[in-house]
Amino acid sequence: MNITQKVNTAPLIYEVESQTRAALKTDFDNSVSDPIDAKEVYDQIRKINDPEHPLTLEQLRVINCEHITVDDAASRVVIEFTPTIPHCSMATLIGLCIRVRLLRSLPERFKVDIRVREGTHQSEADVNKQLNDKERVAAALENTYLLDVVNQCLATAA
Amino acid sequence: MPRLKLVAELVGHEDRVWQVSWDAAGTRLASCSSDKSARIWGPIAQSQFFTGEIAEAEAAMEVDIDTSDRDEHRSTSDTWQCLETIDNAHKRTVRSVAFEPTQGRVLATASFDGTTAIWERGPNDETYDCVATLEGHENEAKSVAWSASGQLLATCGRDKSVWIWESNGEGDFDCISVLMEHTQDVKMVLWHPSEEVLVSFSYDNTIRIWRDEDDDWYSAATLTGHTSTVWGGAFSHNGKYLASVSDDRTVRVWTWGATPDENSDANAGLYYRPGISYECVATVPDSVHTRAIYSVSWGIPLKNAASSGDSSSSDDLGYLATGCGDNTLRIFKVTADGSLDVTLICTQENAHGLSDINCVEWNPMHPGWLATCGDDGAVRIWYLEE
Repeated sequence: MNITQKVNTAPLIYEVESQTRAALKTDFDNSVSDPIDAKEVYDQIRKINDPEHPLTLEQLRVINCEHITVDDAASRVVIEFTPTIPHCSMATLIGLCIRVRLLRSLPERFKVDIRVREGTHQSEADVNKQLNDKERVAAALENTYLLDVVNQCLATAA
Repeated sequence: MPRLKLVAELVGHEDRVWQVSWDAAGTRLASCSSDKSARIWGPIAQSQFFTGEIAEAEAAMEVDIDTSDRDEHRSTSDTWQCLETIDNAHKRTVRSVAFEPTQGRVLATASFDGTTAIWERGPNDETYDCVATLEGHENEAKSVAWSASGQLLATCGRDKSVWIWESNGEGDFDCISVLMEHTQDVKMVLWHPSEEVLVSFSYDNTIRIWRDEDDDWYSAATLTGHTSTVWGGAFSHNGKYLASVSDDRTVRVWTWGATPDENSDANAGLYYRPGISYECVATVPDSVHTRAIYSVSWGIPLKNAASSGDSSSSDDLGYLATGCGDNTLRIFKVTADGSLDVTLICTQENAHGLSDINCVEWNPMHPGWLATCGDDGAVRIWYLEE
């Protein structure tokens, strides 16, 4: 057995469908504004690696495109993710990885709320509160050890 | 209706600005940032700037509300200057900054590196030297505040504690109390404007009032009602009311019962600690602000400054300003005619472009002048015109 025991030793792994989006004619027309949608946000985060397994958040269905709400006009993104088990101690780290990925990829105007999906985590309220406290997030990102862990999870995302 | 005029923009910080703080004379403004520095700013015309014609100040700096993403070409207004930059003031984010209230030459900064630093300016220059470093918090320090007398300093942090320090002069500070009653991070500490009463605001959704009995500090009251993190608060000018703001998107105003009589409880036992009864007397509902409210400041009535000699009514409690995560700066008028009324009178959208507003602070000497800072890295100076 490993020295560091995994929280979830045998997670379910899901098939990943091809995600390539067919190009539209308007994609090449600079006069057409192209609002950011849920699919685009999903593409930014689906390849983030799980902190425990060499699998992506998409393969574990921790994130789902249907659980992402984007309002481009209001510059608002809400992401709900689903921990693989309800006592997952990695939930805040996963949420932090999603937040950092979007801090680095979305325009600054977007306000991002990240939550665990209702009923999927036993400390739901605590996890949500921590993930959406900008001061705690700022402090976490100054922690070089934690930032290394986050960067490892994000290495596969781009 | 009153409206806010943007008078100056102070550019220089390279990252999010967390807090702004005026000195007691209201002619210097300190700011602190995730760029690990603190900056001191001042109007070139000094105090005349605030009393001169607002139109002149405006003519010198016409600032448009910028709603684009961060603009690299902005510059500091012609009427203001950066007097000093304390670079690398700390090893990590400088979260809080506060001028010592009695002389204005001393400044405290609190940082995510866990320390609070005391800086002193020489008598004839603007160079601030570090004269003390207060250590004790286990991790991030989040707020620092001086008592009205300048004798006491309070700090708080991620480690759930509130520390009270006593100044012995010459940069010598003793920790006289460590208060551990909060169950989560303490976000802000605030002193009463005249009494030695301390207030702390916490991630545990509560506000605590701290008093001392023979130099022994204790929790005299816990104010409950907010349903999420309480980010901060401000006392009314007369010290009778306390406003608080929260992640629950409400503003609450609290008042106290009679101050405990020192003598009436003399026989109540050696360890008796008089508590304070408190009451929430007004709430701005969560439909007004659309995201977390990070800061509130309580300004004196504008009438006090009027040259007409118009005696201001004691019912007029001045203005509350709030800084919010929805990018909007709001001004409320507060009156106490029988009940306490808090009325929204002015809304400035995108006060820091499309960024959160982290702090609002009324000038203590010049009514109507307001400083704000935000995630856009800028500090802005506003004037509330009636």
